[in-house]
Amino acid sequence: MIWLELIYDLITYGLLCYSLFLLAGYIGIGLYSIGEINKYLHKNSFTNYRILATSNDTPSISILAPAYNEGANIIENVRSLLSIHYNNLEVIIINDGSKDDSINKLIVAYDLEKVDYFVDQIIETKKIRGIYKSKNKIYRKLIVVDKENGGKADALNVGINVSRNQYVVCIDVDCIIEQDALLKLIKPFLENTKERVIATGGVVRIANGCEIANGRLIKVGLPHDFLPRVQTLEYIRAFLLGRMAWSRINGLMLISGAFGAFDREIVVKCGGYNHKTVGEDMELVVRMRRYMEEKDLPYKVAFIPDPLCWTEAPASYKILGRQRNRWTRGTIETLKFHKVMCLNTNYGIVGVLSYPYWFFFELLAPLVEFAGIIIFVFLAFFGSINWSYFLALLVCVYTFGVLYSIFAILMEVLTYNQYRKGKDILNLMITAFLEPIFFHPFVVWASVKGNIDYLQKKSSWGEMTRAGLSQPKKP
Amino acid sequence: MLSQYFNLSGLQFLIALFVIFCCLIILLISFIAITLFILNKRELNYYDWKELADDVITIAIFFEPEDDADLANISVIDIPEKVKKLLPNKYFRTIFTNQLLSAKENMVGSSGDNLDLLYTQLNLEAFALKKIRSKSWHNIAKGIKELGLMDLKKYREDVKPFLNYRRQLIRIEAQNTMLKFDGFQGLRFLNTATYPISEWHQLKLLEELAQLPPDDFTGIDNWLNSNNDSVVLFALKLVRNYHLFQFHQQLVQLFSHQNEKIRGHAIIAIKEIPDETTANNLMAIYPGETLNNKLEILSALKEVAMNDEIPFIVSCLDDHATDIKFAAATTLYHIKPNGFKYVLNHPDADNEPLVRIIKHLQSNIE
Amino acid sequence: MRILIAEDDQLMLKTLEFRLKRDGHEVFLSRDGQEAMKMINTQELDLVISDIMMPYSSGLELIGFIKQKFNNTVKTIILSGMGQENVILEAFRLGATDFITKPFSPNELSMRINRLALSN
Repeated sequence: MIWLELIYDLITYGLLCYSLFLLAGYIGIGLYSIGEINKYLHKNSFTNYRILATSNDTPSISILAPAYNEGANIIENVRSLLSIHYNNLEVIIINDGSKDDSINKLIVAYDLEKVDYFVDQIIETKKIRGIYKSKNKIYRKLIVVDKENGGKADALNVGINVSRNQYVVCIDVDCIIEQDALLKLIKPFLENTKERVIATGGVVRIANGCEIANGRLIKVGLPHDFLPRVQTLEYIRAFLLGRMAWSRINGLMLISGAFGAFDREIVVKCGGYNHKTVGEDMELVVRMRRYMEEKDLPYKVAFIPDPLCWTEAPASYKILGRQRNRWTRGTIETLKFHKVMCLNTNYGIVGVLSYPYWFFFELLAPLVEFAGIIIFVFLAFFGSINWSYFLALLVCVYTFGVLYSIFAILMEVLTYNQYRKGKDILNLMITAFLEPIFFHPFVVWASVKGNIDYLQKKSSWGEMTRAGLSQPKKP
Repeated sequence: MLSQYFNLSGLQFLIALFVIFCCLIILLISFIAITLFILNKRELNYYDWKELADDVITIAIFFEPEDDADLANISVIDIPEKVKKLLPNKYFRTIFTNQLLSAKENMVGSSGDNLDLLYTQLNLEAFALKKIRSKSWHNIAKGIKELGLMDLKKYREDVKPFLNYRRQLIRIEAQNTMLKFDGFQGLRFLNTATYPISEWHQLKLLEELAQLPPDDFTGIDNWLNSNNDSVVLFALKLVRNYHLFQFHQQLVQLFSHQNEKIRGHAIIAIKEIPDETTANNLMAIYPGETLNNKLEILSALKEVAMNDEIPFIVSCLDDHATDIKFAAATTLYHIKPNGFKYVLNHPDADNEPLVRIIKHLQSNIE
Repeated sequence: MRILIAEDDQLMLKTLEFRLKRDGHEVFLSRDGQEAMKMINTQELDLVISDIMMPYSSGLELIGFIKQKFNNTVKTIILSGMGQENVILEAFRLGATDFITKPFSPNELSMRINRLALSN
């Protein structure tokens, strides 16, 4: 059966080429990122962010934090937001129709009263039930908006309507924000003289295993459980190696929904967040980029490699599965909405590089892998497997995966070195060896399921349930 | 068969790849181990050495020379042997210098002078100069910054070449250092700056200026006419922050500048230096302006408008843009004593959105 | 006097401690607003010297809290790099006894504190 063997060869060599291409791409991106991070770290050492926090000439910022059933922690979280040192700041908490007593807790803790605040409904949203401000002057930066439940995107749109400042910083209210985070995030908007920076994002790190008190990070630590630990490794790879390089060539298509800053004027012109997708954070960035490309205006989406915000990662396979399923559906929806950009030179780097990358590598990769497994099973059934060859292939792929992770760990040690103890790094390295076996297949499966669910048009809107975790978000 | 041949080759290829990967993994793991070892050792030293540096610096801050001491004799502060031994170590020197510079930023008076004494006594300026001559850009910037913080004016000529350097960071440090050396005269570089000065950079300059004792600006009229738009913007900020009334006329001229941002900043600045013609000038340019600038004009009118201007502002209430209506209503609210009445009596006062705008203003929300 | 210093810069903390101890005062240290609050509630103090920009809370909040709880029995001095007019006014509005901007002269600070001690 020559033709069968030919197909077999084609598939295996095809997979091999795909993987080698991936390998070369990863290494290239990795090396590129390192240079950029080091440059950033050097530049950073010259900046006294404190001095700039007190200046009157800094641009106005509104922090938008949608809250849903945050309950016990909301007081502390709001408090830590209010203690951010920045002059022209307002903190807008949007209570997305919580079923618990969040709003009452806030009213009591911050001495709030209902006010007749004028809001121009530029972006259509669900109804606002009331706007509250504090009677106490110390909390004058705080605005609390109570609205009907409508989901995160809708809540953020309300925040955008309420805000009258130049930049909006969209955060998850239970994310722990670093002290100088706001200034570091705003700096790119002010530093760039060639283009208009429309959005910036930072690095999100995993808070599991860290010592946290009163809404502040006290000490960094590696998570004890396997699942959050392997996600730590994942985040290190994604942020340290990937994002920096993309940002450098101005091809960044995603800013973490946990913490990102946006030019309000552009957001409004684009129509705000899209509540018809579960991947609203990525979709907005892509839509803003598309807007600027279509208007032919020079712009940039910037990225800060500093860890600015810490968040809880899913610790159970079930919740992790839901999260990855959601990410996949969000990616599909975003790519679908903006498919006009694919390989379209009118859309610059996004069209030519970023979009195809997301489509072929982020979206298709799990599907290709899954298909590979199916084909393997099929061929095994027919006895056409050259076992030694196949084993060698498998071992190669495994080793490559481990190699890339180790490379990422080395980058982490050389740059931010958040996990100083030798024991922790050893743990991370062991995790790198375990990941391809115990984690990766699960993620591939969750992604495939996401595709299936999308095709079945499952919608996950309505009430957003939080199982004691922050909303699943893309890193 | 052909494919059999390929398979064998393929297998060997894969095995070779596998071996390469394994070697790389081992290599990288060793790198990690070595790096961790070095970093952890450094960190151990860091806290101890920082303590040591702080101790010496604290003593130096409160050092009081003997009454009959020879002030020309610079070896007067007592330096512990341990510190003397560690000074050749680059890492210790970096820690020590950083702490010294940090203290210098916080203190003036005799304490500040003592820190200068300590700096000179330990001959740290030699190392600062070495940094300036280095090839790496961040070392150059560090060296320049150090010279500025320690007020080593005698090296002014060494810093000057960097004022229009191509790399932004070095330009900023050089310009800030010239400000430290020459006070407001240090802004001379604005006359010839070819690179755009970013907003961030302008913030740093303004902060630097805020630290200096007030002085006269010579050169603002040049800068307001500069071809470099960012220089014009910076000059406008100076006019605004320091309330320089003498430039009112030039600001009015800038209202017809082709750059929207400059016109906007001119509007913002002029409300800090108003005279009796300001309101009329603002109203004159209003019709042709962009939305953002129209809002700035209405905001400026909050400060400078009087009864004569009320009819114009009332007419803005009819603009279809809600933002303009809000801005106009707010402005009228601030024109005492009767401005707000015109909003209340407006024919649309009971319709959306004015009815809500009125409620907002009436509840006096900050 | 019994003095509490709230300041997150280690070197500044050390310097102030050194000088004030030399001047004969009893000195307590805290590195942020929270630690300071704890100390204020547990120790009997005459004076609190505080920076504004510290982790966890603002020095201004601290001032407000002290004025509310102790009125004028515990004096407060703000020692901060934030020297803008609105900040200074806010500090006095919240009840600060004095405001010193950085960079400052330790000698001057020492004099002002001694004056406060005498006026007690």
